[in-house]
Amino acid sequence: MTAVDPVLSVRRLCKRFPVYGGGFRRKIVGEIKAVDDVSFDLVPGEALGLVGESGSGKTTTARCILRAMAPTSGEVRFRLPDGRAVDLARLAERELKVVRQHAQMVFQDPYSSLNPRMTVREIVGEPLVIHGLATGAALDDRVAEMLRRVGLQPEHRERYPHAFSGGQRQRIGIARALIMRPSLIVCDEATSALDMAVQAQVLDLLKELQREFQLTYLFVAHNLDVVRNFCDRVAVMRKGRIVELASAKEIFAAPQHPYTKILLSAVPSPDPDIPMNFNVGEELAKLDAAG
Amino acid sequence: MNFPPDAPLLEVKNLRVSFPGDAGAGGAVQNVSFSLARGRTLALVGESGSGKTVTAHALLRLVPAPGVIEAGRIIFRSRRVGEIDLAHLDEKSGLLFKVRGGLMSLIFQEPMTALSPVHSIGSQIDEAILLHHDVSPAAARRQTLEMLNRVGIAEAARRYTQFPHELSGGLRQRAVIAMALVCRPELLIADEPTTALDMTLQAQILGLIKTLQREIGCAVLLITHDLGVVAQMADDVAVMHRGEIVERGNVRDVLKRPQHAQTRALLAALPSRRGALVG
Amino acid sequence: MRSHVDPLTFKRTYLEDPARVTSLGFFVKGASYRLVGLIPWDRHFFGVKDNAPPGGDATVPTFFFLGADKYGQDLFSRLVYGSRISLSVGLVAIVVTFFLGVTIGGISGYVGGGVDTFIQRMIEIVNAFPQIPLWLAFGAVLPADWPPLSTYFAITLVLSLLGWTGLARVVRGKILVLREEDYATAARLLGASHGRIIFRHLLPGFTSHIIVVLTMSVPAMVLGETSLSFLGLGLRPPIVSWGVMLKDCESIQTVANYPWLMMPVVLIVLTVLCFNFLGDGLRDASDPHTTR
Repeated sequence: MTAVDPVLSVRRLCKRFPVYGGGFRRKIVGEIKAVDDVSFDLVPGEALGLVGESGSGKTTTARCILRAMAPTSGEVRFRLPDGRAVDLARLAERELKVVRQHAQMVFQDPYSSLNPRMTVREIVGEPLVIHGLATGAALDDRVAEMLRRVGLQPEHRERYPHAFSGGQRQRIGIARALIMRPSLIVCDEATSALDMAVQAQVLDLLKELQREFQLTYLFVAHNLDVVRNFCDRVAVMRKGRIVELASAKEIFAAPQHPYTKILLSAVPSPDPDIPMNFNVGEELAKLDAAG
Repeated sequence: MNFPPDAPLLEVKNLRVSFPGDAGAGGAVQNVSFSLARGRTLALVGESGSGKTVTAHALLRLVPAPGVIEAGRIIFRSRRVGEIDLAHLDEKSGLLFKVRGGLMSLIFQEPMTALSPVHSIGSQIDEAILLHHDVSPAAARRQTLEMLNRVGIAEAARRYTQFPHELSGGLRQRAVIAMALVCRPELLIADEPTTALDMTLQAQILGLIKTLQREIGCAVLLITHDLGVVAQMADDVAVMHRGEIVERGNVRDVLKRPQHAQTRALLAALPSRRGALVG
Repeated sequence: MRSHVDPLTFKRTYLEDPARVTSLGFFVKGASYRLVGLIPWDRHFFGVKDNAPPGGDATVPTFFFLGADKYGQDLFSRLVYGSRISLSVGLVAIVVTFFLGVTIGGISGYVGGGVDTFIQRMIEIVNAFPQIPLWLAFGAVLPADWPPLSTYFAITLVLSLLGWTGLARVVRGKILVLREEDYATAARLLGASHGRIIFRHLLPGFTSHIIVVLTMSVPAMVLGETSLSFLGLGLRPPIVSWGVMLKDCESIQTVANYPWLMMPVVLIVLTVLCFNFLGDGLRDASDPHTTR
């Protein structure tokens, strides 16, 4: 297998949050290791799933990678389209702005991820305005084209977000993320807030766009079923650490780590004859006790 | 009681709920009929906007104004108060207040909105008891602590005095379940109880609902859009589309041999079914 | 009218003379002036018609609509003139309040941390000062020989120096909440500058609140100016404002004998009520763009 330069190389990423004790003075009594020594590579063109329960650190990892918050330590090497590699964890704010054109995020909540006071045209066009990539009629054309590409009607671009359904708003968010033609997209539970039918449509759209724009996805999710068909490889996180990282097929056919097995058993199957595991709580406790 | 012992606990006949001023064709819920036997679980599935939540709210007369129940009957055969038609009950009647929380309870999707942020968990569950049973506050407290234990909240005495924001999402949902079931209602309506939870929490909460259902002997009306949850929890299922029930039956029949196009569409949208379509 | 003094009690009484009729009218000829400061004209909105009454003095009688003060100045005219000062003081003061409140509150909320704590403690100290004595102190410090315009601006500055804290708190609170919204994070991830995030994304979220808070502050400013001028430590004659006019009402004797001098009170009450109603209406009408 030929070695391809990874588009993203995360090495020993850590994010610790201080815990403040009660009382009058805010004393630090301890810390939470939200992300504890996480390392993985992202091969160009692949979709890597990052799964885990809430509190596992997957969202924090995603946000640290894109510098929505600063990691405590570690390295996030991102390869820009021109071949240069930068360490996102250590970049200064000014240099970071240029890099942002190449890595974007799609958020979970379609209701709060769009500014309710901006029209769709302003929302989707904002990246171009911030980076000075287009103005006037050219800007408008690019916005219209992007909206068409994500399955929305460009005539609606003067409307406000509240006029659209959840699924449509998610498409607007995707349009905003893609308008600068980034190479890396981080989907932070992008479909978790949508119901099944809409979820399927949005996932289809993401898959098509991946092929067309040659995107690499980091797909954060808690629903394993979604990840199974969408992602090439899957990393399972628990308490800030990656406990298993393998191809999607292997994870689902032959999970190795006991936690992955428990996680898989907790997914409710639409076949009534395949019972789900209701004992998840006890099994997880046993796993903790075993160390 | 003046009804046969094997008559269904809940019988909804030709229910019609509409929101005047809505430009949509027809009402939010049109001509919905179904029945639920004692101790069984019925799942109401559909996309968002199909009318399943409005139906559930109508049972407890919680449809927000200007929505109104235009037609139909909601027959509830309670072993404690007899046969009532909830659709025609006077809004201010004492009977309705008796039903809500005491005979029929509702669990919401978002536990944070179901719990008052300024009252402790314990006092909220106490309130549920004191509203329906004539007991002393001390006795209510004992029942609350016992219920907290039953729903799997460890250190019940400590949690009793805590406020909702001090609890994690999973514990909050357990507290809401405690509040809903502490009066041993005959029917539990669960409106997307696990949609906001991750996989492991969902499994635990669903398991909890199943266990408590067996212990208390209540029937469960489960609203969800997740067919996996339906398959694992329900005995019967009714598929709703645009305010009408388009298919109903035993869960095995409907999921394995779907008849209506809408049911098939829902099944096809399942992520696990789409492996063949996605490259 | 004719006045008559009783020789024994020295009590002055006024007797009506029904024979002498003074006719009033709209758009009568009067002293010439400039309309909107440009066009020379001599028609007054209303006044005494030019026909001289039979007998008595040949001069055109004067008509005091609401009475006159001790210098013979027409109260109604002074009320109208005074409104310019009294109302504009409030409006100018809230402009200063707006800038101070939004800037300081915005920085406090957006930057957070130590800066936020410091600014909040400072606001608490400012709020702890008793308002009227502080205003009086500032008013007394103003040199008596300053030109009227400078005094005017100094007074508005003094009024807003204590008024900005309320707005700053509201702004800070709103920014703290809105800062965590996903769309603010999204803007940051797009590479938006802090300024863009604050003005384009956060601020529009509570412009309506700001407008309401400011509208409700105007009555406080108007009353503040009135109090200061009434106590003689704000605006002084020859500037005309309602507070300055009320200074004539200091003694109970004056008020008992010449109650019409209290007219400015009616206008002040009306103004305060109007702004309160306006603020209420704005608050009801400002429907935030709901996200759901």
